[in-house]
Amino acid sequence: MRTKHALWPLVNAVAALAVLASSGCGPKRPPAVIAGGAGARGGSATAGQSGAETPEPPFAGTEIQPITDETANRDDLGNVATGDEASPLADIYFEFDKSDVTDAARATLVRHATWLAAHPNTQVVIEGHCDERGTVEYNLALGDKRAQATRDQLVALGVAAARLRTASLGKERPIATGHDETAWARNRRAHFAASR
Amino acid sequence: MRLFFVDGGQTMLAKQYSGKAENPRVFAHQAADDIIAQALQSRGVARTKIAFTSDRDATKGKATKELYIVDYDGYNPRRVTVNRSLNLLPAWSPDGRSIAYVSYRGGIPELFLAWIYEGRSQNLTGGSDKGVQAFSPAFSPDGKRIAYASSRSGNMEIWVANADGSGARRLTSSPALDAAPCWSPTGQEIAFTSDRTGTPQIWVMDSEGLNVRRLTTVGDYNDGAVWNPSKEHPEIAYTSRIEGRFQVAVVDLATRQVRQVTEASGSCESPAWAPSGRHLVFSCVRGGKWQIVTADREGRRAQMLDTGPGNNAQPDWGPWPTP
Repeated sequence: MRTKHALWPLVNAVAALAVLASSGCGPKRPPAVIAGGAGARGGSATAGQSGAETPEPPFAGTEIQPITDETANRDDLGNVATGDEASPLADIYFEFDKSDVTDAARATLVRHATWLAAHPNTQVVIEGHCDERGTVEYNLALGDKRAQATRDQLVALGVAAARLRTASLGKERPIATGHDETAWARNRRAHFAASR
Repeated sequence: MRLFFVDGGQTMLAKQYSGKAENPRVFAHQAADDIIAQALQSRGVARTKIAFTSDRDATKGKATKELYIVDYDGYNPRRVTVNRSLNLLPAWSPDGRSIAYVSYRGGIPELFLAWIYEGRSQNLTGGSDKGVQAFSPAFSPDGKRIAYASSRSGNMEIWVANADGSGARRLTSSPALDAAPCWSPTGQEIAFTSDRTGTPQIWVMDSEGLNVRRLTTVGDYNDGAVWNPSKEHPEIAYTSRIEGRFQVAVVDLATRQVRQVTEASGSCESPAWAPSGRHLVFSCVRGGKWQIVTADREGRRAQMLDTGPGNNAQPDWGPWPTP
């Protein structure tokens, strides 16, 4: 091959021509090569490797489908992850990149344990959330540690483990959308999604 | 299509294509791949697709993320999930027929498989009543197994299961967090993130969980490893915190040399390789929103894809189309 500079504008031109030249016949399918070297008209006879091979079709005649076995518009989060929905149990907060339950948070959890004792049929999903600083996957792991640490504290306070599930939300669903310490502090939290 | 040398006039490539004109991009993409094959003697990616998650369907008070698929250049968006929940971290199967992903549709993060040409999905982790949280699915190169991260044992560890989710077993057992697995192109090794030395770093083990060794030593925050699928380029791309921002970096497995792929003023993360191993896709903050960006493996020719509204992130580059 010669210089790329000479080649590429021409490539663009011929690609466009190929599109214009295509006719509307046959079923919807990827383009098939109907002529290889023999299709070259004019020009030099010294064709390079003229591609006579048939291109591999993608899944012929198929289109990407939305998943239909999920009910569209169904609020199927149920008891979890709606972010800022009212909960009888207040959020607790964490320090940056930490999953330790702080003293202030522990005091809140004592009240939660009392409330849960008075509402024995309530199930809780403990959501662990993170601020936006950090990567997707590390934050999912950190949110998991926060949720688990919170659950461990509630179990230690007498709440039956079977009533508690955990779900890490990582940085995927911040309650505060700002990009400053005020927003970050609100997002480093465990949220309690309660259901009966 | 005719391709010829401008100065000499010799024909380099000559082809005709037939088919319906209603989707002209298919012809252009096929022609582009034919030209790449002829001119560069390598397989082009113009007929591949990219999956990602987008919050474009979120409504006030309902911060949803749904999976979308676009052509490699960002055009032709197709919505995959419609469950108005969080759907994250898409991972293509090697045959391109399905995508594993994390969905909160049952209340906790679980793995699902979307059969994208059939419009159905399959739960891989047993149902939300089992309480098994799972993240970061990754198919083995032969498509027979899925690695993922799960805290089902009480702590985030790397697990491997059959492609249908059965036979799950744990590969790591560290009190630290282990997350974000990816496979080597041979399927014999798995790279992952672990903070067992105090900061998140990329580690490598064999696919049975043995022979665990640390890979990254530069920087105090490295995550999200993806192994170059081309045996010509033994290297791993990942996200690294560099001077307070997240950037895409690549470590050469032979020399351990690290090269920085992005130099964004915002953050970039979540790299994934094109099937050729010659390009990367990742997401970057551009103009206050997360957007999908492609570049070559050196970070040149970076191009933001116009995939549609909203924040668009966590891309995975699909395989070459197969019959």
